[in-house]
Order: sequence, then structure tokens, then C-alpha cells
Amino acid sequence: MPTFRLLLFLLLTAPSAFAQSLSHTNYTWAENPSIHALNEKETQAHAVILKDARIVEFRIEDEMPTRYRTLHRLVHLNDQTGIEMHNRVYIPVPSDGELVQLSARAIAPGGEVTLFNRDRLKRIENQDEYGDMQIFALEGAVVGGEVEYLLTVKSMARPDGQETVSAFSPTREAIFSLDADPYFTVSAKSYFCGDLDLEKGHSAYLRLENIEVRKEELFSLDDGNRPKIFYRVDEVNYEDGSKATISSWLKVQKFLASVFLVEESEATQAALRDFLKKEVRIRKSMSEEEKILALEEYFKMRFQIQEAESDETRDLQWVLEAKIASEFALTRLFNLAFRDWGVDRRLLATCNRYEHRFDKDFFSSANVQNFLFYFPQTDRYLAPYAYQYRYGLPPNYYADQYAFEILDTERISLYAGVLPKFHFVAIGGHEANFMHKDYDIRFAEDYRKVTVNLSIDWGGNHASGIRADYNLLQESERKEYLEDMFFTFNDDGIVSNAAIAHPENTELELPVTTSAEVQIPSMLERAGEDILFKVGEILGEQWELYREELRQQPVDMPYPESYRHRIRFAIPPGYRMEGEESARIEHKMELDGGQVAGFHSEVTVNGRQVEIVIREFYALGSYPMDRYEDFRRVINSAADFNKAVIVFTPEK
Amino acid sequence: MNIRKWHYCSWTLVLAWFLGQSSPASAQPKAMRNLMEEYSGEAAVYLKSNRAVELEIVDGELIATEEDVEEALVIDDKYGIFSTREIYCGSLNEVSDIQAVVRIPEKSKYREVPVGNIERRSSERKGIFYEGGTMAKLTYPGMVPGAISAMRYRTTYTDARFLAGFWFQAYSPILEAIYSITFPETLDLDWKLFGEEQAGVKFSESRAEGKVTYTWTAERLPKMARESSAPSARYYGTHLVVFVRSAKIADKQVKYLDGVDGLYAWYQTFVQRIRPENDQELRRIAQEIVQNRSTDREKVAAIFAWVQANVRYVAYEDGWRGYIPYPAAEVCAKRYGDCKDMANLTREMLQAVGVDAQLTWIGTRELPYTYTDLPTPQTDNHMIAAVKLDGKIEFLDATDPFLPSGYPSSGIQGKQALVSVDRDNYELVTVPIVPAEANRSVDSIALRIRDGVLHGTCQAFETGYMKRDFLAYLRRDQDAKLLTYLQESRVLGNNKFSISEAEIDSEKGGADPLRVGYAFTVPDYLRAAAGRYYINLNLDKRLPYGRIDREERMLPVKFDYQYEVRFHCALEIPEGYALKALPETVRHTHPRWGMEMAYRTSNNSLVLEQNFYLRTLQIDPKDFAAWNDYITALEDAFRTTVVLIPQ
Repeated sequence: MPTFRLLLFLLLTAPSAFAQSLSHTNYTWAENPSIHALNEKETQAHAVILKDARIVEFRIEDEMPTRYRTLHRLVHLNDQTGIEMHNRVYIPVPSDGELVQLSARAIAPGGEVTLFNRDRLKRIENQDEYGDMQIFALEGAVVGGEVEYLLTVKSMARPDGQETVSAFSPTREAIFSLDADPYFTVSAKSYFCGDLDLEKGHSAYLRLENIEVRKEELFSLDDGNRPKIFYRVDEVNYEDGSKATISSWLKVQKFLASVFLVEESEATQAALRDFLKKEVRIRKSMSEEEKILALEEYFKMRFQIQEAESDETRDLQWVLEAKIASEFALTRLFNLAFRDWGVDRRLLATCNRYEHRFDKDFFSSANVQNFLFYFPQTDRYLAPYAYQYRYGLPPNYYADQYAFEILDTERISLYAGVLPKFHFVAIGGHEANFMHKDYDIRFAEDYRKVTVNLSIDWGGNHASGIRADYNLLQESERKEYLEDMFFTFNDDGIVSNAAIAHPENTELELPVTTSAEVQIPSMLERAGEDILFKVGEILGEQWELYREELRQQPVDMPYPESYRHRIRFAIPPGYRMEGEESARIEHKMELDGGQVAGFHSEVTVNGRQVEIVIREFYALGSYPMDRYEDFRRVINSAADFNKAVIVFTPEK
Repeated sequence: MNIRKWHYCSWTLVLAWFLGQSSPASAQPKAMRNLMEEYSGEAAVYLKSNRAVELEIVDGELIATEEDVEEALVIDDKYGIFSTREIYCGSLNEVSDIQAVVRIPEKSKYREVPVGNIERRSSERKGIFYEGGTMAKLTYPGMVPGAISAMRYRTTYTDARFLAGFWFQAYSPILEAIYSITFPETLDLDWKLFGEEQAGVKFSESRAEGKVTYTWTAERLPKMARESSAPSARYYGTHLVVFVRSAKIADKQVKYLDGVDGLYAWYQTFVQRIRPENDQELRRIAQEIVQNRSTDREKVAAIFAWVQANVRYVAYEDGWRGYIPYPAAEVCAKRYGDCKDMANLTREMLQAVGVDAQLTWIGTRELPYTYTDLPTPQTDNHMIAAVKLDGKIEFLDATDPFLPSGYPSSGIQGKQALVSVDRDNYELVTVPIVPAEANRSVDSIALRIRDGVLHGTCQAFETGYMKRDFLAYLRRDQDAKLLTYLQESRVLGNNKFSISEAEIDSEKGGADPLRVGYAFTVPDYLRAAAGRYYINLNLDKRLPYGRIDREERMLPVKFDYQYEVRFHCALEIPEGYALKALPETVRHTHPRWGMEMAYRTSNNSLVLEQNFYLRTLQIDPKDFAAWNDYITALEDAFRTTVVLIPQ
């Protein structure tokens, strides 16, 4: 491999960076700081980030590709909460990195400056996803004052990275600058903010103004929709004129195929076969799906996941023995077993859309954080280390977006001309994710409570969630878990005879059925000689979007779903029924000529028998912003139904 | 809130996992199979939990070395929490020689698999910014039902006063728990046993070669209950705390934790170690704060409010730093600190303006101990300041920025405080439990019906902890908007409750009530049928705590504080309508909780007066039935609807 030895003249004659791009060597803060005036809106926030500059530089230093990441943040503090949001600073400094610059200060409303005493900088190690960090608390932060820090971390160059705008405070000015020596070709892409100025593959710049805090919203991707910038090194250009690709779909294909799709040793294959036979009890007579389900159940119930990849977890024989696996190791083991059984499958690399929606148009390692098997013969998925999911539907956070297919040798040649190959992970239809609830209601003779015999069929994602939870619980915990499923509107229900049918993870084709008898006092109210039957509360509290006035994000559902409620009761003897029209509600939403969401309840009276049937469904994974009001009307229908009240008045 | 690092860690550690002596590798799986049958339904049982402590005098210092050994038998495949083990280590409790294996059953024997890589990381605890310790995490390989995890490690305390407590019970059964401590005969050792199963703990004593060994053994004590809203396990779990009163070192009798005197004398050494700093600026600020305040009470209120508002809670803990406050002048300049820093700053500022404030050590309600019973550092986990006003001690906890002046924080009510008087003298004072009437919420609501929709205005007055909670939740909310907060926190009627305008009085300190006013509508709350209006004036039907399952619930239910809640709700009867019938007054009284709901008419309005009170911090199991009666009465009363008929 060519070295990174550089010629001095190249450094001297290197084209100057894009005029706007910045460097940590000449970036500085105001020598004489003063307090900034805020506008009316800014005074309403706990704190305002007046400036948030991120400068990323790729350099060659001592023949090594090096990254400098500089952060400059200046924050105006409006109240105590604002101080608490901004007075602690956590700086990820990787083990090969160094904090080469750190200045921090607090500026009091009168202009007095308190400089940070660097002796109080502390190091903490091995902190989950952040690794090693250095931390400090800003000194002298007061209400009405400002805090400011400027820091640079130098480390080995990473192939890619991302910068995300603060989720907690409004930002007056945010700057992103990417600059690379000519030996790198870099690129960047912005999401949910303005377009980047890109130049010659060596620099990128973006300046944003007045970024508001994004509220948490129901049915949204939240973090997945945060303004952010991804950047990467595409190529390194060596002194001998050769180039090395650093980041690309093809590069990642090669890497992932070398991890997952290589031939394992004979000894490993033999160990796995022995394991499958003796421990998992796989029999030849089992169907392909039975084998898949049995293996998945074994791995997910009995293997421990170790966050970090280690020498041990790379050794599959050790993994089988220890029952401790990394995510990579578990994926490899599944794949090896599927290969051994001749199962037709695709291995996909993807990401959690609640953090970042997969973007096939811009390669970044953030797109390929997780793995998923797809079985084309059955159109089913398996997420190898997602404990809450089982073979069948894909986990909702991987669905409704593309995934990257890791091609084996055979399929690489098949798709040679159209690489990379992407696979759209469909989110499934609303019919599959159903909840069918049947309520038979009786009134106590003294009208102090109702008794409800309730039976619920859960399908699709609803069922797999229950199965995964239920099977992880101790027997002693299951009773409480089941009873909690029958919570009532005012939490005053008394649940008895709670039962479950088909809870096993392997009962793929059957819905989970739960049932119980629930006594609920709060559904009946006395009004002199009249009785109010709050029939709407039988559904339990429903999601509502009554108060959301200005929607900021498009609607993203966890998954399409449907509900059917059937409520039956008899009008009490000696009474007549009034007000049943409050239980009749209909709202629907159409898109491109088809109905994509709806709520419809109808009341049928047959003699003294009353039946209310409700059908509610959401057919799409995402709904466009400009149709939000239609969506909201449907969502709110169920909460409106909660308020349905039937009045029983004495017959004269 | 945390004063120190190490002993919390140790308690957490012993609560989480228990120790025992290792079984020989040749132990017969058959015996274990019987146990698996006996304990089916459990994820695992602890076979043994053993701690052997050696106290020695080395170079004139009393050193403690603990040898912890533990074994657990996996019963079924839901052993998740038993598959990993975390051990915390700080500079005052150094952990070494961690060894762990898994014994995997194979036919009639066990195959022993050592635990390889032990992951190490900086330890972190909620609320502590920098802890300074490390955490070792080991993962047991090859765990299957029938496997036995076994581990041992050594803990060295450079000061034996830091000895951790030992638990004979856990959230899983322990078959055998043994604690032994060996010490020189010249040493005066004391101990205290806590918990509900003390009778099951046997004590024995032996002597040999100038050393004494005390041993406590418990076999098959029941596992502890784990329930929400319950007092901490220290109130009922059986555990032992051993402490050294004094020791003869080089022919001198050295006092250690010799009663409260010994503990206080030791704590004073921490206070004496506070670095001297130039406090000119602190004094200037303090004088400025109390300008125009003439009485001590006013000065205390002003300085307490300043520390609350200007110094943020940021806890740096690292070894002895967990015990010794930073200099007050430094904290004043940095504008952050932990509980002891803020207590010391409050004290110094008050002393700078001539008010005799003192440091105070205290345990929160999480800890059941008193200094009188247990004069050890295990008794406390917090530091505050105290001041004597009008002959009475008042407690100042500035770590809570919303606490009204004159109120102790709710988490220390009823606890014994160790209040410094001077270097050699102290007072033990019990923190008062704030009476219900001092924590009051009063809502005065006026309702009217317009176009079939319920409209209302509310004037709410909050005092004491009610006021504190209101402000704390409001200020910590992301966008801190009163209207949004009220909208989310006060659902009256139904979830279409909508506030159109809201106002709040500028915050007043002390016992002055906080006033909040708002106007609202509640669409779809009013029911109209057959020309009548049906309305339930119980707009807020939330229960103070639900019905308690008397068959399942084992532990008391605890509350943060006592309180009174009052609603005065007046509905203007619309023109052309009349009240069909006035509901009867309902009352349910108990010495510690109760309510009254009285309806009356006044001019052209229907008025509902509601009064609820809670005068206890805990419901004990013997009172569960009485509590459930109260809840039934409340639910019944809440289901009263009035009818307005056309005239």
C-alpha cells in the first residue's frame, strides 16, 4: 500500500481551501466578550445558543490521515434551567485522540469573565457509544449571562461522521465547515436544513440561522428528523497518483461480505451442526420455518449480547460455547445455519429510521448499523439480535425504507451491472397488525359498576410484542403483566380471570388472544333516577392530537394497523336509552382516490340488545404534512368516542 | 444529594448481588437438580453468600480487608440479570483479585469455564457528574439452567470506618449467607442488625491467638418483596452493619465510631480539611444580599434564596472529595457544587452577615437509621445547613431550587439530623414532618354553560410542597410555558380540556401561596339528552393512590408529603333551567386520610365544596382495608352527576 509520505511542495502549492471553510488554527472567539441582546422570542427560551460552529478538517500529519473536530458554542442563559442544560460539557475523545485545544469561559451580565480552570477537566472511560470522554462543568454561569467554549479534538481520521443541531435550545447561528487537504476527496450532505456549499470534493460549508427547537410530536421520527449533516472521506489520493476508496457502497459491500459471507472453517461448521442438533434440537423432519423459529428462539432466549466486538466474539466456536455473542457474531451464526440448511435468504444492512432514515443516495456508515435477514420465498424477515421481534414482520424501525443488500459471490455476479443493490423493506399492511376486541357488558343490579367480559385478538406487530415480553417474564410476573393489559380508563377496574392463548413465539400463524373479566365502577354515574353509562371509556384512553396546533414533522406511524371493537350490552329493564348518537362517529381520510385511514362506529339496537361496532385503521406508514388535519381528525375520533355517554332514563 | 461515593456503591453492590463460598468443582448436579425443582419459578437462587472481613492494624492505621465469595444456581432460562455482574471500586474501597467461573453441568459433574475478559469503565451514577471510580463488569459464559456462577474478589478499605453493610436477604432466595469478621482482641467492635428476619440470623463467637471472630449465619431466609411506591429495602431487608468503636494502637486507645461523639469527631476532621480561600467576594455578595433585611429570618430567607437561584447542583466526587466540601468562596465563584458545597456556602454566607448557621449531616428517608442507633457514615447520604431562628432549628437545603424557605426538603422529614454546634459539640435534632395544612392546594372554579359547552375560570393557590412541585415541574419543562404546563398537568373534565389564557403571580418565597389563574373550556363534557343537561362537577377524579391489592401487596405505600387539596366549584345554572335534585353531602373520615364533598345552592349557582386530606407519609399493611374503603368512597362520590332540567 502506498505510504502517506508527502512532498513539501505539494503542501505549499496545495490549492487554498474554499473561501468560506474554516480551520481550527485560525478560528478564534471574541477577545473582549460582551453580553448579546436577545429578541422577544429568544427571551422565552431557557437558553439560546447564539453560536454553534463545527469545524471538521482532514489533514495529513506525520504521514497519518488526521481529523480535527472543532466545536465553538456560545450560549445565552435565560434562567436556572438554561444553566443546567448548558453548564456541563462532555467531549468524546477517542483513545487515539487528543484534546488539543480547550478554552471555556462564563460572561456575567456585567461583562465580568470567569475563565475555566483546566485542572478541573476530568476523564471518564469507556462510556457506551461515546467511548472515552473528557468532561467539565462551566464555572461562573449565571442567569442573564453567557457561557462559551471552544475546543478541538485531534484523532486518526474516521471515514465518516455527522454533526447534529441541538435538540434542546433554539440556535441563532449554526455553522458547519468541512475542509480537507488535497490528499482527500470528501463529500457531505445536509438533512432537514439548508443546502451545503460544496467545492471540488475538498470542502463544504453551511450557515444556518434561527433554528427553532423541534417539539416532540406523536407519530413522528423526532431524532430521525433532526437537522444534521453527514460527511465522509470518499478517497485518499496518494503521492504516487494512486487512489484508495475509503467510503462507498461498494467498499462496504466488500467489507460486510468479508465478515458475513465468507466460508467458515470446517471446525466451526461442525461445532454449529453439533450445537443445532444437541442444544437447539433441530431435527431433519422439521420444516424450514420450524428450524428458523427454533433457532431464533434459542438464540434470543439464551444468548447474551456483548456490546463490543472482541477477539472472543469473533471466534464462533467460543461464542457457541459461551453463549455470549456480539451482534456481528449472532448474525454470522444465523447466516451459517441458514446456509447449512439451504435457506434462500438475503442479508440486509440497515439503520433505525427513528435515528436516521436510510439514504441510498448518500453512503454513510450510519446507513448500515444493523442487520436483517429477508426470506424471499415467504416474504418474511428476521432481525438477528432484536429481542422484541421474531421471524415474520420486520422491526418497525427498520421498515418503510430501503436497506442495503450484502451480496454473496453468486449474487454479486448476477447484479454486477447494477451495484449497489438496495431492498425496500415494506412496512406491511394494516390488516396484519390488528387488534380485535369483544366486550360483553353487564350492569350491576345497583348500577354501581359494570362487569365486562373482554376478549382481545392481537395480530402482527401487536402479537409479536406481547409474545416477546411475555416469554421473557418469570411465571410470577406474568399474572401482573396480563392484568395490566386490561387497564381501564380511570384505573379503577378490578381484573380477574386474566388469561392468554397462543403466547409462544413459535405460534407465528395464530393471533395472541387475551381475555379477562373486568369490573369498572367509573363507567356508571348516578344522576338522580337517571343512569349515565360512559360507554366510550370502555376503549381505554386513546391517542389524541387535540392540542397540537402547528405540526412540525410529517406523520410517521410505527406501522400500519387496524382495530375492531364490538361492544354488546342490554338496556337495563325498566329503562330506556337516550344519547346513543354520541357513539356514532365517522371520519375518513383519502389519498390519491383511496381511503388510507378511517374511524367508523355504528350502533345497532335490536329490541333491548345493543351492539356497537367500531372499525379504525391506518393503512400507511407515513402521511404527508399537507394532509395532517385529515389524519388528526381520524386519530381524534377514537378519543372523541371516549366521551360517548348513553343515558338510561326510567320508562314511564 | 449524595455526599459520598463509596458507601453508596457498596450498598448498591450488596443489594444487587450476594456473596458465598465456592463449591468444589466436583459437587453433584443431582443435589442441584433438587434445588432447581424446589425453587422452580425463580430465575436463580444464591447458593452461598459469604463475606469474611479481617481488621488489622498496619503502621498505626486500622485497615479492613473483605473477601467476598458468591455462588448462584441458574434455575431457568430467564437468568438475564444473573448473567452479568458489576463491581464498583473507588480510591477508598479498592477492589482486587476478581476471579469468576461458571460451572456447567455435564452428566454427573461440572465443567468449569473461567470468566475471561472483564470490562472496565468509569463508574457513573445518576445525579453525579464525576464519580472518580471504576466499574468492572464481567459476563458469565455458557450460562444454562443448572449452571452455577461463582466469583470472588477482595476489597481493601484504607479506613475501617468505611466498612460496608452485609445483606442476608436479596430479591432472589439465598440458601446460606455468612458474614464473619476477625479482629484483634484489643479492638472494641459493635454491630447493629436491621430488617424483618433478624430472628433467622445466628451469631457465634470464637477466639484464637489474640484474635476474635464474630460470625453471623442465615439460612434460607425468604426473598425480599419488590413493590412500587414502597420504602427502601433497608427498612425491611435483613442486613448487618458492623463498626469499630475503638482500638488500642501503640498502647493508646484510639476512638473510631465510638457513639455519635466518635462519628462527629471524625466528621469534624473533614470540615477542618476545607481549604482556606480568600472569601472577600463571598462576604461582599452576602452583605449585598441582606441589604435592607433587618431580622435574622429575613437574612436567612434572602441568602437561602440566593444560593438556590445562583448555585447549580453539579457533583464532583472523587475519594475524600466525597466527604470534604470545596471552599465556600470557590463554590461562590464557580456557581456550582454538590450538597455539601452548597450547605457550606449557605453557612459561610450566613455567618458573614452575622447569622449563626451550621453544617448538618443527615440521611434521606431512603435510609432507616438514626445516629443514636447507628453512629456510622452509613446513616447519612446528604448534607444541609441549619440555623436557629426564634429558638428553633430550621433546615436549609439549597440543592432544591424550588423549596420554600423554612421548609425542610420532603425527603428528610422525620429523619434525625446531626447538627454541628462547634468543633466539639453537636445536636441531634429530628426534622419535623410538615403538617398537611402547610402543603395546600386550593382551586376556586367558576363554571358556566355557553352554547352547550362548559366554560370556566380557575384561581389556584399552592403552598408548601404543593407550590414547590408546581414550580419544579413548570420550570423544568422544555419550553417552560405556563399555559402548556397547565394544559398538560391539570386535566379537568376530559382530555379536550383547553386553556385559553393563564397567569401566575411572580414567585414569592416562604409560606406565601403561589397564585395561578386560568380560563378554560371543556368540550364534550356536558351531556345533553331529552332537553336536560347532565354534568359531573367532580372535574378532577384522580385518586391519591389506587386501591391496594391486599392479597398481593406486602410492603407499605409511602408518600412524599402530607397535604390538603380543596376545590370550590360553582356552576352558574343557565337561564331557563333548574337543578333537579341537590346531591347529598358525602364524608369519609379517618385519622390519616379523608374527604368531604358538600353540594349547596347559592343565588343561581350550584356549589360543590371538596376537601381531601392526607395526614401520613405511609400506609401500613394493617391499614390497607381502611384505605380501600376510602378509595371506594371516593370513587362512589366521584360518580355523582347533577341534572339540570328545563323550567
